[in-house]
Amino acid sequence: MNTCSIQKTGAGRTLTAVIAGILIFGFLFFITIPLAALFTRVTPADFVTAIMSPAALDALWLSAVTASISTVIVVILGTPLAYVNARVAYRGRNIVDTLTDLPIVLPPTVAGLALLIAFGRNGLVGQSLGIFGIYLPFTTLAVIISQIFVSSPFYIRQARSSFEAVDRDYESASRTLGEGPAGTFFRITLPIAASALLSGIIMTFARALGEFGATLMFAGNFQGTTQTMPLAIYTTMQSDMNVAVALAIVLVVFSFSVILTVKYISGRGES
Amino acid sequence: MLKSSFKSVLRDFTLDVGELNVGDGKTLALIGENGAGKSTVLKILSGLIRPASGRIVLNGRVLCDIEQGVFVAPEDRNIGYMFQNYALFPHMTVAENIAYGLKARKMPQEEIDERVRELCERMGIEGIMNERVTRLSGGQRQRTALARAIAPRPGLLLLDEPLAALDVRTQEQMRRELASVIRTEGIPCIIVTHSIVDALAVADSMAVIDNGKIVAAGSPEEVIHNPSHGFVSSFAENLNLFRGEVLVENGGTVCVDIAGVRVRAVTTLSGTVSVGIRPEELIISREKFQSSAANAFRGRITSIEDNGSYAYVYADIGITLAAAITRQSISRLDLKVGDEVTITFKATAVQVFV
Repeated sequence: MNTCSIQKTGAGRTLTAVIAGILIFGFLFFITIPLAALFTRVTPADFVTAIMSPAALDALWLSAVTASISTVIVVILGTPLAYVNARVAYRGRNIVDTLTDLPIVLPPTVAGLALLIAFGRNGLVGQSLGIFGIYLPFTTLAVIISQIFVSSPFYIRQARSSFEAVDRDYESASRTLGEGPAGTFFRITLPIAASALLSGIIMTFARALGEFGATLMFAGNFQGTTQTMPLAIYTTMQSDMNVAVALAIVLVVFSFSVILTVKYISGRGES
Repeated sequence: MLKSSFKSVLRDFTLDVGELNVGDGKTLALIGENGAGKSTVLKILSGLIRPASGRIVLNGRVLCDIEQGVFVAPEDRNIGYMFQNYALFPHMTVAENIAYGLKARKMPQEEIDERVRELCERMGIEGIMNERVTRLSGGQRQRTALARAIAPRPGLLLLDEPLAALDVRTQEQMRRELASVIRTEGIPCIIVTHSIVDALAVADSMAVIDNGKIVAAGSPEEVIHNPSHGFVSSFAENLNLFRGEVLVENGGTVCVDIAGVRVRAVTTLSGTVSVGIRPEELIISREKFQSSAANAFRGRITSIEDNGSYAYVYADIGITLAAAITRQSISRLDLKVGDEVTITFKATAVQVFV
C-alpha cells in the first residue's frame, strides 16, 4: 500500500510538471508570437526605407521630444508630492494617493475626454485660457499634457516607495550634523533613493512614449505637431503598412530594453 | 553645560523629564529598559522632536522654550548625535561621512581634510578612509559614526546605545575606546544604554528612566547602592553588584573582599570599591575543575529563576551570585535548589569601579 501511494504521488508529480510546463510555454508562446510576427513582416531593407519616411521620422522626433518633456515635468511636479506622501501622515493621504494612481486604471479615452472638457475651447479652464489667446487642444502642448496625465502615476508611485525606503535616521543624522531640510533632501535622501527613482523615470518615459488614446482625443492626429509614434502606427497602417510595422518594431525593442534596464537597476539596488 | 526640563506625549505614556542637567565635560548615562523613553529624550534634546512643553538651554543659549515660542532647528543646535544603527550615509566613504558636518558648516576644504585626517588617525581608521561605509565591520562603523558626530566639535554629544550593535568581544574594546574618546574630547555627553556596565564604564552621573519618568539620578554609586526604586534594584541584583575592599595578598595578587568572600580581580584602584560581575561570565559546575580562571567558589543554589531562553541560578557562596545559563544546561546538570555547586569565573570578568 505504501509503495502504491508513493508511485501515485510520483506519477502525480510528473503530471503536474507536464501541465505546468504546457501552461508556461503556452503563455510565453502567446506573448512571443505576435511580437515575432512583427519582425517577420518586413525585410531589413524595407525597415530602413520605412523608418526614413517623413511620417515615421516626424513621429519618432515628436515622440522623443514630447515624452522627454513630459517626463521632466512629471519629475518636477511629482517629486514633492511623492516625498510628502512618503514622510508626512496627514488626513486624506489615501485620497490623494488614490487620485494620483487613478490614471493607471482609467481608460485613456476617459482621460482624453476629461482633458478636452477641461482645457477645450469651451472647457472649464479652456475658456479662461482663451481670454489670453491660449488654445491647448490639437497642439503639441496637448500631447504633452495627455502624456503627463497618463504617465505621472508610474513615477509618483515608484518615487513614494523609494523615499519610504530611505531610513529616516539618515535624514535625522544629516540635520544634527548641521544640514537644513533642503540640503538634507538633495545630499542624502535623493542620492540614496536615486536608483529606485531612475526606474520610475524610465517607466514614466516609456508610458508617455506609448500614450495613444488620450492624445488622439485631446491633441488630435496631425503629422509633425501631434502625431506621435502610436498615432502614426494607427494612421499609416491604412496607407503604408511597412511604416506602421517599422515604428512598432522600434517601440517593441525600446520597451523591452526599458523593462530590462529597470530590472537591472532595481536588482542592483537590492544587492 | 546643559540644563533641560521638558514633557512630551508619547503613544503609551507621557515623557516627563523634570530636570536633566549635564555639567561641562561630564558624562551622564541615561539607563532604562527598551521603550522607557530614552531615545525620545535624545531626539528632543537634538531638536528632532518638538516637546509639548519645556526648556532646553545649552551653554547659556536657549535652544527650546515652548512657552516663549523658541525652537531652534536641529541643524542650528550644534549637538552631535550618534544613532543606535549609526546611520552612516551609505552612498559616501568613511572620510565623506566624517566631513559631512564640516561641509555643512562651510569650513574651508583644507581645514576639513585636516580635521578628518586627525580624527581618523585618533580612531585608528585612517586605513579605511576611502572605503564605502557599507563594507565596514561593526567596530569600524562605530568609530566612523563617533568621529562623524564629534568632528564639528559639538556643544553636546548624544550617544544612543553606542555598543548595542556590536558583538560581545568588540563591545569590550569599544567600551574602553569610547570612554577614552569622551574624556579627551571634554564634550558634555549623554549616553543612552540599557547596560549598567556600559554606564559605569563611561559615566560621571546616572539617571534611570522608567515609563517616561526619571526615577533615580545621581552619581553611579548613589544610584546603584541606594536603590530607591524597584526597577533600579532589580537591575543591580541581576548584575552581581557589590561593595568591597581592595586587598593586596602576599605575592601581589589583587582581590576584593566582599563580606568576607575574596574575589580575585584586575584593578589599579584601592580602598572601598564597587564590583560588578556579569551573570553571563559565571560558570556553574557540579565539581571543582582545574582551569585558568582565578575564582572558584563552592556554594548552594538558593533559587532558580526562569527567564525564557535564559535562567538565573542564584547560589550562596557567602554572598549571593546570579549566574545566567541556558535551560538546557540546567537540565543537563540536573540543577535543583539546595544542590552544592562550584562557581568559576576569571579575574578579568570582575569589573571594579569607584
